[in-house]
Amino acid sequence: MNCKHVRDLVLTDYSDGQMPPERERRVEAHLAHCASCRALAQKVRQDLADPLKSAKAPAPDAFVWLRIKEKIRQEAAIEDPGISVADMVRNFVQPFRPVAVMACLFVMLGVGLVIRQNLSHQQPYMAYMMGAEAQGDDVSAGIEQYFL
Amino acid sequence: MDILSAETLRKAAQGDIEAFEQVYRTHAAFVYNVALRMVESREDAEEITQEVFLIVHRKLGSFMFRSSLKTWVYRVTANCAINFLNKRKHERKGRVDLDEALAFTASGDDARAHVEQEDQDYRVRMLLNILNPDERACVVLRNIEGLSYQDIARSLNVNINTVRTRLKRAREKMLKTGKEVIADEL
Repeated sequence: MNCKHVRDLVLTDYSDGQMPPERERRVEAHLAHCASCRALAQKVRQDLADPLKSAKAPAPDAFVWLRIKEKIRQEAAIEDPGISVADMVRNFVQPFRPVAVMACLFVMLGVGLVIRQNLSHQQPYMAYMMGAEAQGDDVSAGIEQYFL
Repeated sequence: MDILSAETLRKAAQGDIEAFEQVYRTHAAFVYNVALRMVESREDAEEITQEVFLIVHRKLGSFMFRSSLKTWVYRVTANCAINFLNKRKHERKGRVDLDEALAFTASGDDARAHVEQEDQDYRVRMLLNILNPDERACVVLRNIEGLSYQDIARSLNVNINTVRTRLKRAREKMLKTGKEVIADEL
């Protein structure tokens, strides 16, 4: 191993303990006789690894969870806004649906009866018109003759 | 590592708020810690923590448990924090680079007083400040949260060699900055 290779490893895998034992021993063998690389390894440990490792690990303030909980509730309310106006109308109408169907049937029946009655009133007139036509009595021709 | 029972997760996925509170309690510390190290402001870290758990709540039902819940939560956290940083960077139309970090470290009594008060924490923030969001995510997940390269790659959805490259670049930058800051302080 040359110095460049060892320095790269000192800046990464060796200092982080991410090397297989066999390679680590080879790096250590190089460090044992190379003062420059050894100084770099010591510097990486002292100036970078140790201060960062002992960096404070504070916990977030309690209100952070309260804010998260509130946001979750708000999001849930947006996703499920509860009962809409259409739902309220539907729920109100639901128990009366059989009654409404019956009422519709009665209305349709009533309309049918009225139409039938009207037709029966027109029957004598229709019979008269059809009879006159059959006898060749042309009403419109009589009117034309009157005006002439 | 997930200590939550399958029953708790099932309930949480179905909208049980008490079960989801357990999910929050189990993961909130590392989410907040990663967020804080990424953005360096308590308010922003809290905002990211909130966003992460809202995403987790929305998507927990469709989470297929192909990876561990913690790895998934790390991924959501890293993505939210990186997006936040990129958005902020875009908004400011500026760039956090080495010169800016050095200018900050050398900017008068306030900075020096801060160094005296919280030297170590300040140094950590100063070191992380010079990294771009992707590098910062790798360093935070590795050095602060102790994830393996494989887990970092899964969390950030990148190749393991990309993790190595980002860590190497990040450490080169941090060593260079650290050296210059020490020289400046002397």
